[in-house]
Amino acid sequence: MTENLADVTELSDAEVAEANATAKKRGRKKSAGQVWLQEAVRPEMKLVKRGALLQGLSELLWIPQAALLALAIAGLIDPHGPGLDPFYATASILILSAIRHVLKVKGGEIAVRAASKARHRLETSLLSNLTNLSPATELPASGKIASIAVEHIQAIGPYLGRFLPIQARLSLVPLVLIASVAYVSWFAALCLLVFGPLVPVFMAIVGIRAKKASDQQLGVLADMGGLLLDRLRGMETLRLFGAVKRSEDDIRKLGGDFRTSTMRVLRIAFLSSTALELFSAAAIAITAIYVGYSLLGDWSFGTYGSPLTLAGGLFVLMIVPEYFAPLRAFAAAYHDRAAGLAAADHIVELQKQLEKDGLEDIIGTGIDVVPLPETGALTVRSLSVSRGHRTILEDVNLSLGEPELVVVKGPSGTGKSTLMDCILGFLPADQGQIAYGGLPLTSYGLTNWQQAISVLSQNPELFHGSLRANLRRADKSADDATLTEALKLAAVDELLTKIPDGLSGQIGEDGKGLSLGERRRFALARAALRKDARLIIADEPTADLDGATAQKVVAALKKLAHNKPVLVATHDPRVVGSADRVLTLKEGVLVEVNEREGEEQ
Amino acid sequence: MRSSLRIIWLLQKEEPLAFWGGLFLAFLPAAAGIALLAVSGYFITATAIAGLSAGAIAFNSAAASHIRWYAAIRIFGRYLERVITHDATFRFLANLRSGVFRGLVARESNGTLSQRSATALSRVVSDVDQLDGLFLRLVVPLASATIITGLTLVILWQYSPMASIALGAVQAAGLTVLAKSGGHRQKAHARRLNAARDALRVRVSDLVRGRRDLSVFGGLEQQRQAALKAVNQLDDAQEQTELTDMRNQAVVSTMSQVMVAVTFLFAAYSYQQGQMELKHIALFAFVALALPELLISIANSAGSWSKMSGAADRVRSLLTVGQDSEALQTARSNSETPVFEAGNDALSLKDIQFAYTSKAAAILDNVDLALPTGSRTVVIGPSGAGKSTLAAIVARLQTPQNGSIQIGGVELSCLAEDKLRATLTVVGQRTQIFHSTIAENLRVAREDATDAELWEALAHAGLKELVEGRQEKLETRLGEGGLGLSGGEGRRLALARAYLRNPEIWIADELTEGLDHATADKVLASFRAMTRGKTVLMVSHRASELEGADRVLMLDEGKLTEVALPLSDEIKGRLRDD
Repeated sequence: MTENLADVTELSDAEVAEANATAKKRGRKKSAGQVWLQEAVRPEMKLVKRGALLQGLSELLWIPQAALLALAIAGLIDPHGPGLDPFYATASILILSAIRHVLKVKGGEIAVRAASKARHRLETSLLSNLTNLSPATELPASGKIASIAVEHIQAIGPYLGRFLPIQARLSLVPLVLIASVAYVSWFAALCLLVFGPLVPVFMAIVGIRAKKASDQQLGVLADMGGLLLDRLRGMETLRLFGAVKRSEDDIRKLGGDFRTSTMRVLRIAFLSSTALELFSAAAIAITAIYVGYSLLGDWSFGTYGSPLTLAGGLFVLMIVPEYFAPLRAFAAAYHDRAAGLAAADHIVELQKQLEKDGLEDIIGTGIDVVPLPETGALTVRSLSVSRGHRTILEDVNLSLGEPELVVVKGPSGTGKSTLMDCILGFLPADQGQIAYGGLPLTSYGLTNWQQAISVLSQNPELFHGSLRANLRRADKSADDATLTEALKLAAVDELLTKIPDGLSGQIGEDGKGLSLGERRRFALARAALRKDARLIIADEPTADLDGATAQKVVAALKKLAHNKPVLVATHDPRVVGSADRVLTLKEGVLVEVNEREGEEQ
Repeated sequence: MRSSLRIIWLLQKEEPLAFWGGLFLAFLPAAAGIALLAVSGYFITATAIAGLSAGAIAFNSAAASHIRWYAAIRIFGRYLERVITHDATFRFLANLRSGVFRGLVARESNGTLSQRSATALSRVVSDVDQLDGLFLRLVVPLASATIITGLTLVILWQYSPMASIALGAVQAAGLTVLAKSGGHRQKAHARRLNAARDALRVRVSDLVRGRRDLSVFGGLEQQRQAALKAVNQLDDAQEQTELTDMRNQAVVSTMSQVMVAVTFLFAAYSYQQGQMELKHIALFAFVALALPELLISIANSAGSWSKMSGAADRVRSLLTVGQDSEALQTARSNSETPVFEAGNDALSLKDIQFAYTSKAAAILDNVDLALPTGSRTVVIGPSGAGKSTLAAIVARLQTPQNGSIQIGGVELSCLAEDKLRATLTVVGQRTQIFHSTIAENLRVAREDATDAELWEALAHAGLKELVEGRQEKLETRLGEGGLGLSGGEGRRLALARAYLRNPEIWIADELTEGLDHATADKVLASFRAMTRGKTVLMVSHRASELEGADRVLMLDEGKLTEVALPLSDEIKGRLRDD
């Protein structure tokens, strides 16, 4: 097991998790998430401290308020002792309240705004990282990343805006309160001094045991939601197999199991707040009894010479609960810390994945960019790609220049998509070179090259928005007539009548509302709109289409191939049948199928 | 708020002991906390007066024992309270989850096919999670604050009516301020927050999923800007919410100081007027000090009320739908059992009329169809013609506007759910693979299937080798973080499930869609072997699926027409021939 955190980042996720667990067990090493979180909120720490200071001052103003009240009560009871007119005391207390309120709100605002700033910064940087990533990078499910952006980064907010200021106050407020009590009675101050630090000690003892168990519980809670979501998604399947009632029972039963195991943890965890209650109640009771017997004259110690006055006693008794208040707030805000740390672990995990794949190694830094020629030939020379120990492409050679329909066929999983990704600059080659117009792709800059290709991917993504907006992603300036023409070419113009409002009609997230076939053809229309494309790449363009429609798509591709090279990966014989050139990819090796050429001649 | 109350009522009915027990236990320590401070103050003042006049020691030791008792009740009662109320909350959540599940299923069965997006579903899930505070953060603090404030005021009334009115007025003002946090403006705020959250979720997942197409079509930067806009909205809304929470808490803490000051002033005035005993002044001051503690626990949770209230609105309707559907199920439960005899129709449809909305053109227009027991029928037609809708209607996943369906001689709308599902199964493209083990995924079809039977089903579906090759065999986990199944393998898992059911009627909805030629052939071979002698309805646009069909029908523009066998070239050309 690694001791050094710097090494931990090099390890696999499982090992990191294990290292974290060990670190937590030992209770001295910080987890990767903790380290990251500290670094991430550093720019805002100054603001947080300033906010905490204002809020702390507000809390400390309770001292004069308590003194005023104690004096006023004492004055009523014992007209001969020190006293204060009730009216003036009340008025002063109210004025102090107003000041306290302003301080508290100002301090709170500073802390909340600091939290907001940190959140915003983290979200922005996550978005930039996502944008700068190679599209071929294997990423966690999009939903998972979305929940990092939406939930996990948000969880940093309360940690920064609530927990940290309370933690900062904890080192100031109780000490000043003790000092004020000591002014009246050293014995009462001593009580607080003994009980105060005992609270965190006991809380920590209980907390360490509870934390380990509760870390696992947090995961279970997420699983609960996950299970419900999983079952909801499969609702139709469950109904078809008559398993609805059973799933309902499963959900209920899992809820029951979850309750039992969580309560086991909570029963321990609640002991820590019980310790807090115990000490605060004991402190109140002891102080009250001490004050009571001192006033009776039975006890005469704990003060400096003169016996404890009624005003002094009341004052001490009013400060005691306030002494424990910051501790209580700390305990209450502790789950903000836990949530923040848990979120940090998720974020760190993703960040590591994002950092792994910079684009620099694929396509240069984009400083010395050569303008892309209008025409040219794409040449792939001795391209080899392997992933792990598996060779995906081996010594692949390919040249594409003339307008023609070139088909790469082969069973799924043979590397057709990998070849396409390499040409698109999504994946780096282990060996070999891909060039356009004689220069390697790196010379043109990644973005320029990618935007000079038109692509119809296997799972085309359509975006939330109107048909027009989706199509214009390929050609910003295209007018409606051009767009309609492209839809006709791709044999999907019936969408204009099917979707209300035609081109202005909305399609949902994930292309919702369109069938898979329609989405495919719609994406073909989008690909066709890029008039200045040097090359069109299509990955399984006819999968899931019925005969008549597939025929139309092939015709459209054929038509596009009159103007520029079209490279199609497919196993559909219809497309293969209309190809000008057919290549087969088998076990990573690309072979030209010659007999077809012979036939044609 | 009304929805919240309604849900609370439902929870109370399901777990009365946990609910009322939790409430009672919450009340005790809170009351003891106030009594502790009040008696301490009273004790000190009384001793001070006694010290001045010398005497009344017996009384003091009684007060000291009170202090001990209140302290004990407060400490241990609080522990007990937390354990009991949390336990109750988890009970409620488990019930809520299964209720919501039932409701969603019921809603789908009444209306449309499951077209919900993943976002909508995860909203439901997070709604339920949000409601975990309903009991813990809404019912418990509000109820105990109200009851204890009332009780305290009644007790204090005997000492000084005027001071207790002042006390009550300030406490009521505090409660009103907090109640506003659950009000309409805050609710609108919570809605904005949710909207911003959903927008960011959609933008980011578009950005991640679509990054290939986006980087080619130059929309990456645009998408990032859209996501940034959502980030700004979300951060704004979040900041507003946090500020409101923080201000609420500040108001409550200021209110508590005001309460102390005002109560004291009134008590002092009462005393000077001779309406109140001297030793009760400190009692009032300390009660005023302790009462706002109740408000603080409310203030901490007030910010989540508006969120809860929105979630409750959405969840409540689901719970109601779930209850209604149970009534329907009960009504159906003693239907006749379908009978399948050679020579009779296993399935017959008459005058089926279906349209997605009342305005839209009919997808199915007076469709008649009869499947003799043991026959194989294939329905072909262009994509979007309504073939899958036809399959869904037969499987009661969707309800036609008009017409009647009979399965084995029993009217479909009256047929008990379990009898229907035992008789008829759909295999097709939309099979869900659950995030659990292979065994659990298969036992969705039959809970009591033995391992041997699972292996048999896997063998028939052509998955045996794949599963045997895995170390954990049947316990291999599927889905995220586990074994990913290819399209063909998923389809075969669906076949294995159906095999375990062994129904009389099989509906195949685009069984081989999205599969390559070789895989499709294997899946079809498995399907044919499994369905020998059964009644089969296939919906397809592939020529290879037509083999062995007794009848072929064409669905086009809402009409079903018989196609002559063997197929004409014109029809063949409209099908995929791979």
